[in-house]
Amino acid sequence: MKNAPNVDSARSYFEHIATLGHEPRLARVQGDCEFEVEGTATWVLHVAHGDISVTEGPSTATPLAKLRCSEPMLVRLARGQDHENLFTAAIRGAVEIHGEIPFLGALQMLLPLPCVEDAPHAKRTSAP
Amino acid sequence: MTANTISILEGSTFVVSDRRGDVDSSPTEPQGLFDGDTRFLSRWVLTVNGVRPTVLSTDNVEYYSARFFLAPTTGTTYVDADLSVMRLRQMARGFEEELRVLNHSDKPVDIVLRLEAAADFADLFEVKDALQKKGRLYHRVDGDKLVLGYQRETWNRETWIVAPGAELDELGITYRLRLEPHGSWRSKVEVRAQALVAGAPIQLAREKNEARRQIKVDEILALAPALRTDFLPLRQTYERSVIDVVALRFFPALTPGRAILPAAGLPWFMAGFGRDSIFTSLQTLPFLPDLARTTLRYLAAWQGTTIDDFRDEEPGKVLHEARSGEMCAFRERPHSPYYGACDATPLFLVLLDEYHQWTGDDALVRDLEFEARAALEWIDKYGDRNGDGYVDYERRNTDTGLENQCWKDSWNSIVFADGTLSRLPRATCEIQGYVYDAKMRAARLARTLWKDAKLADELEASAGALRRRFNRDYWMEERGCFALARDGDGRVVDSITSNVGHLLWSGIVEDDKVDRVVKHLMGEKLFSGWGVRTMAAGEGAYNPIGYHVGTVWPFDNSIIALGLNRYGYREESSRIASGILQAARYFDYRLPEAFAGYERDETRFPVEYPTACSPQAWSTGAPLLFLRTMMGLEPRGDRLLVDAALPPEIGWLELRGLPWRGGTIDVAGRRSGGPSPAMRAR
Repeated sequence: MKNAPNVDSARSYFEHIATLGHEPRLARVQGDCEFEVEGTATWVLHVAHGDISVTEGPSTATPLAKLRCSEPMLVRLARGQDHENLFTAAIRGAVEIHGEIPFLGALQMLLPLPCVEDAPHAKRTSAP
Repeated sequence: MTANTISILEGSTFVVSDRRGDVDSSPTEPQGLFDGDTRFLSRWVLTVNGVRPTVLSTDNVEYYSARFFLAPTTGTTYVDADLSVMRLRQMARGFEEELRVLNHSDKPVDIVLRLEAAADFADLFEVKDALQKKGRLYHRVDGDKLVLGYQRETWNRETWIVAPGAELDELGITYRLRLEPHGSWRSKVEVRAQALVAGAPIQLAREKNEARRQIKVDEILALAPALRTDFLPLRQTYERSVIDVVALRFFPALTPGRAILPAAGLPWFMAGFGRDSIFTSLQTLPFLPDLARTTLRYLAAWQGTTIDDFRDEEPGKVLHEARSGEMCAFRERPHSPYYGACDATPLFLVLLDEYHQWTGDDALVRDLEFEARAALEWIDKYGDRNGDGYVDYERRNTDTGLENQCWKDSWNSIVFADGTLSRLPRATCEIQGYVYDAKMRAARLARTLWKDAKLADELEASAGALRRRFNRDYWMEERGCFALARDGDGRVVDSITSNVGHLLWSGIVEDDKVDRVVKHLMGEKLFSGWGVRTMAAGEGAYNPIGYHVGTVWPFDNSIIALGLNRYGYREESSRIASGILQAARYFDYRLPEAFAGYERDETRFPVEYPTACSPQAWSTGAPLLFLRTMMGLEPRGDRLLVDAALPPEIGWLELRGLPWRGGTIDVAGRRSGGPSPAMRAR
C-alpha cells in the first residue's frame, strides 16, 4: 500500500475521516455506522450521499450497521498494514460486524483509507 | 466435473458427491460441501448394516436438489434386494437430506443406518494446491447437534449436523430402525455451514436474508424468453444454459448494494470474477439483462482506489477475483479482492455501453459515470507499463500474483511460434482490441449521456490512433495474421491463436486484413471441426489438451462468432455456432469450460478436458450468444434489428418474450430460402 495516511490511534482515524468531506464513491450511500473501539470510545460515521461526518459517542438513533474491534486493529485497518482490509478482518472474525451488509460493504473504501495521492481524479458531470 | 459426480449448488454454496450421494474426498479432490471457498464437509458416507449400498439411479433435475435411489447390495445378480434407500438432498444454509428406507419383504427387519461425517475445512486453494491446515480441528456432540469445527486465531467455522432421532457421536450419526413388513421410515438431517465470531454465528453475505432463492426449473424457464426450433438439441442446450446461469448467481460477501452476479465455474471458481462475470453478462444480455446491471454495480463497488502491490491493485482498475476463504483472510493469497486482470477494466466499459444499447437504461450509465471515467483513467495512466502505447501487464505481486493477466492466464499461454516463452510486460492483441472498443463506446456514452463532447472527441481520436498503430505493429505480413502479443523486449509474439477472433469482435481490424484473419480462423489449423482452437495446430506450443494452447473453449468461440458477424462473415459465424452447439449434445447439453482440440474427424465426439469446470458461467452463456449471433440481433437505438443466418441443421427458430424497452418482443428466423424473419411487438 502506497502513501497510507498517518493514522496511529482511533481518534486520529476519525479526525482524518472527518476531513474527507465528500467521497464520490459513497454517492449512493446513506446511513450511520457505529464504531465501538474497545478500551477507547464509540464514534458514529454519518454518510449522506457521499458527504461524510463523524460524531463521538454512541449513536442516538439506530445505526444501519455496527462495527466493533480493538484500537490496534482499527489502526492496522486504516493503514492497510500487512495487507489488512475490512474484508479480510471481517471474514477472519477480527472485527465484529452487525447490521446492513451492503452498507458495511460500501464502507470498505474507508478501511483502509484511500491514499490521497493515488485517488482517481475523475469527475462527474451528469447528475448522480 | 465428471459424469461420476453429482453437483447441486446455490450460488457459491455447493455439494459435490458421487452417484450414491456419498462424499469421500481425498485432500486434493474437490468433493464435499463448500461455502465461501471453504469445505465444510469432506466425508459423508452412508452405510446400511455396515455396507455401502449400490446406486440404482440418480435424479438431478433441479440445480439445487438431487435424489439418490439406492439398494443394499446382495452380492448376487439374481437375488433381489429387500430394501430401498433414498436420499433426497436439497441446498439450504448448507444442505438438508431426507433419508427414506422401504422394506419390500413380508418380514420385519432391523436396520442400522449410519452416516459417517468429517470436515477438513480446507480452503479451496488448499484443495487445489494440496496444502496443510494451520489451525485446530475439533468435533463435539452438543445436545442434538454434532459440531465439526475449525479454529485458527479468530477465524472460526463450524458444520452443524442436526439429526432428530439419531444417535450422535463425534464421527457421525446412527439410526437404529425396525421396519415392519412392507413398512417405511423417513427422517431429515440438516447440515449447516456456519461462520462464527467469538462463538456467535455471523452473517457475511446478504443472501441469508433473502426469503426465497431457489427457483424451480419450470419457473426459471418461464422467466426467460421461450425458444422454439426444429433443432431439438438447441432447445435443450438453451434451457440447460438458462437454468445454469440462474443457478450460478450468488450474493458475494460484504458487498455494497444488491449485488448478485454469476459465480465463474464449479468447482474451482465459485466466486466473483471480473472478466468471467463481464463476458457472461454480455452473452446473456438479450435474454437476462439484469445480470449485466448487477455485475456492473458489483464491479464498480470494488473498483481499485489505490496502489497495492499485494493485490495488484491500481486506482480505477476492475477486479479479477474475489474469494472469502481462510487463506485470503490471513493474506496468504491476495484475492480479497485481487486485481490481476489487465482486460477487465476495458471490458467493464464495453459491458456498460452494450448494456445501455440493449436496455436503454440511461440512469445506470449516469450513475456509473465516476467509475467509468476512473476506468478510462486507469487505461491511460496505469495500463501501459513500458510506454510503448499498448496496454500491457506485469504483476506487482511477484509471489502469489498471476503471471498472465489476460483471459489465457496459465503460465505457458503467451509463447512464440517456436514454443519459447515471451517476456514481461506482455501486451496481448485482444486487450488492444478491448481498449479500442472501450474508448469508442465510452465516447458514445460521453457524447449522449455525460454531455462531454470534448471527452468524446479525445476518446475517438485516441482510439483511432490506437487502431492505426495496432494494424501496423501487430500485423505479421509473412504469416498473414495478427501476432498474439508484443512482449517486454518489443518483440512480436508470433503464434497463431484464437485471440485474433476477439479482434473482429472489437472492430479494431482494418478491412484489408479481415479476409486473411478469417481464413486462419476457419482453416484446418485453428478450426477443429467443433470450434476454433485456442492455438493453431502446428505452432510450437500447440497441445490439443493444453489448457490455453490447443483446447476449444465455447466462450471463446461465442465471441469469435459475434466478431465474424460484425464483419459480415455470417456463414463462417454460423459454422462455429453449429460446431459448438453440436458438441453440446455430447455433454448432456451443458457445455464444459473447454474440450480437447482434436480434429473432429479423428475422434467423432468432443473429448472433455480433464479438469474442466462444469457448469462454467461463460460456457453456459455461450449458447445464448450464439442464438443472438445466428438471429443477427443488433440494437439500433430503440429498434432491434433481426437478420437471421442459420446453419444447415436449423430450419427455423423463434424467440418469444425477449426483454425490450420495458416490454417484450418476439423474433423469428428461417434458413435462407424460407420466408423473411418476422418481428412482432407485444
